Amino acid sequence: MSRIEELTLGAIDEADRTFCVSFGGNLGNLERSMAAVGQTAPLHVRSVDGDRYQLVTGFRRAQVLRLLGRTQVLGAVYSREELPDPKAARLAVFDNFGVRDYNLVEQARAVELLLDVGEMAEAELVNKVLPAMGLQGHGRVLQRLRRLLVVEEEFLETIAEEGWPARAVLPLCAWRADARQAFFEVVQALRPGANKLAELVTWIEEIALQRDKPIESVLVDLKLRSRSQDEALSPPERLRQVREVVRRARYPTLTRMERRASELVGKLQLSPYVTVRPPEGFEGDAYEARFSFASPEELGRIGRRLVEASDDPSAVELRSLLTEGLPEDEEEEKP
Amino acid sequence: MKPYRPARIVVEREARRDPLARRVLDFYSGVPVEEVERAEELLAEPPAGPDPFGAGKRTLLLARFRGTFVKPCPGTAEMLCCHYVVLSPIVNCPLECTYCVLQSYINRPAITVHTNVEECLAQIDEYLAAVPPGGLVRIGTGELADSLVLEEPTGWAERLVHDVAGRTNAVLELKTKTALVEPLLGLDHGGRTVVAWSLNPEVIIRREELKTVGLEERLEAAARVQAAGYLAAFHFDPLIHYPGWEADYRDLVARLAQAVDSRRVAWVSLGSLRFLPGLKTVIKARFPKSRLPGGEFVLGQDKKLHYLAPLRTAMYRAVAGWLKEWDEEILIYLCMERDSLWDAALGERPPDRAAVEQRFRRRLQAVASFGTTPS
Repeated sequence: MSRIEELTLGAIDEADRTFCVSFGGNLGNLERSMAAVGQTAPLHVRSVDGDRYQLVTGFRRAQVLRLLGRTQVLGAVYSREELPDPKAARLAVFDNFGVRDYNLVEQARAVELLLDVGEMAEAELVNKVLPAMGLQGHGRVLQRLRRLLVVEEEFLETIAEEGWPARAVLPLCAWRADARQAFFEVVQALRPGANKLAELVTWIEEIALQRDKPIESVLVDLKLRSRSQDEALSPPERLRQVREVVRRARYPTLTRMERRASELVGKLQLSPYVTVRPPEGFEGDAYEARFSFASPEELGRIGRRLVEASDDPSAVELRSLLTEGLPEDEEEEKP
Repeated sequence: MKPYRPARIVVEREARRDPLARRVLDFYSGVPVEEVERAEELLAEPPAGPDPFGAGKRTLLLARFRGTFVKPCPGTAEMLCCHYVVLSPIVNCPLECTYCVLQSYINRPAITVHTNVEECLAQIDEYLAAVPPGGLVRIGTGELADSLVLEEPTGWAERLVHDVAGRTNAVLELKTKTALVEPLLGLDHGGRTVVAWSLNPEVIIRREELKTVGLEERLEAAARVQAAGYLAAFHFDPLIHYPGWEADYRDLVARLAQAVDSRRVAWVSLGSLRFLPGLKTVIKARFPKSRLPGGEFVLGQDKKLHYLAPLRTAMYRAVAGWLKEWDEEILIYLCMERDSLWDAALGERPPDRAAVEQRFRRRLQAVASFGTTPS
């Protein structure tokens, strides 16, 4: 049983991070809240040598109290016998579950703590803890999550800061350190959202497979570092440009077909109120034409032009694009 | 090819009495055996570790199947269907094809051998009794498992070969990537069983069809079953698009032509690699050396990833062309493909279900060694 006591903040060993899961994140809200109402829940500590304490939960709160210049703190005090290491590790991880979401780095640290100190079996972690964290309950996720902690510190800080999710970040754990570092420089400059980051990671991995080259070579081939730092472009334009370059490399035939379809539609010289689109991924047998009109005369003009366009060789080529693709002389493109 | 040996056998209490279960337990004597009340108990303890699917293959489950053994292939609404009928005596497979769709579907961490043979045969009876006069049903066991890889311990194929031998409205297809044809050779098959191989160039077999036998062994096995009076069939499925595919597939057709008698080939199917999007993540994780996820895939109308249509057209057209050069009469069909690609690749297509059936029936009638002629 623990005892609730008022402790001197200085008696808590700040350097002992054995049970610390917290990593990065903004303390602003917590600071405002604690400045306004003070400490509402006790920290959990273990007594060490009588007058010193080891912090088990409440690392962020202890940090804020120090920032606020407080010297006293409310603590639930346990002896080592009352709260042995495995129990303490579980308390450290699960205490925060109901209060806030862990960022990905914290999830990795929590898993490591549960395995190493909490003596939790892998099966329990996979089947219960990962899903509770919003992750897929799969041994592979656990394996990659553990690998995350060996990723460069600077990268971890960005992951925590940006709140990037597992699906975007965990594949990077399988990359070589130099590839990851090179890619990190690119994403540091671009700061993509989670979806775009996940998309870039997937495409780059798959280009490497397609070309049978290491990822670091792909990054060099596509000149992603210089493109991501192109000062002639605004940050969103840079991201757009990088995404487009990577997509073109990932889907070389598809992007050429898209471009050709767009040229052919242009050649049909339809009204600006008409849009023509191929089926998604050219996976289908029909183009979709949409038009809008404001008067019967305009409708007539659009209709007449559509009829004329049906005889245009571009319309024939558009049709064959769906099954035959590009004519041979247009298939190759310079890298 | 190393024979499969499970690390443990789990047997349902009820199934243990079945002769097939006893046969398997005898065959694998020495393998630890656990008894469970119901197969579902296995679901409660999925294997831990980074590859539960792979780990699950080391468990052989002997259980009674309480569902429908015989099911028409669901096909896909937008695709021309070949009206195949799927039989599931075994679910899951010790072979390790990187692209295997079972990795997306199977949630039971084991290879399941169903032991209620008589019930299965009764269901086949019932299914075939409802076939209209003149109808021909192709039944295959190669959808949820390799048809022959567990033949020696289970004897499932032998039972089915015997069952179908006397029928007039059904043909059994056993589909495999092994050369384990020995148990079939002496059987009285009545000409109603077709033994089929999935084929790919050697480079793809080595990289993507792990634990299977090489091309030469497959072709030699096909020649052996032909010599034993069986019809052979071949599935160029999945066709894989990669630099150099054209030369490799041309060479593959040439080697096929040298190895087997085209007049005793029941049919050849072509199908390009396709899979549910989630499988890509599984392939990357389980087989980091696989190049398949780098293919130029788009999402099809069936919600599966397919190579871009023009890439598929080019592959179908090329392979079909080489096959026709080998033998003009060979029956070629596309698996799960839309009408416009049939037209573009093969220049024609059967207009409806009746025409599909008719093609298979005519081909089987035409093939010299076909035993009991279907009505």
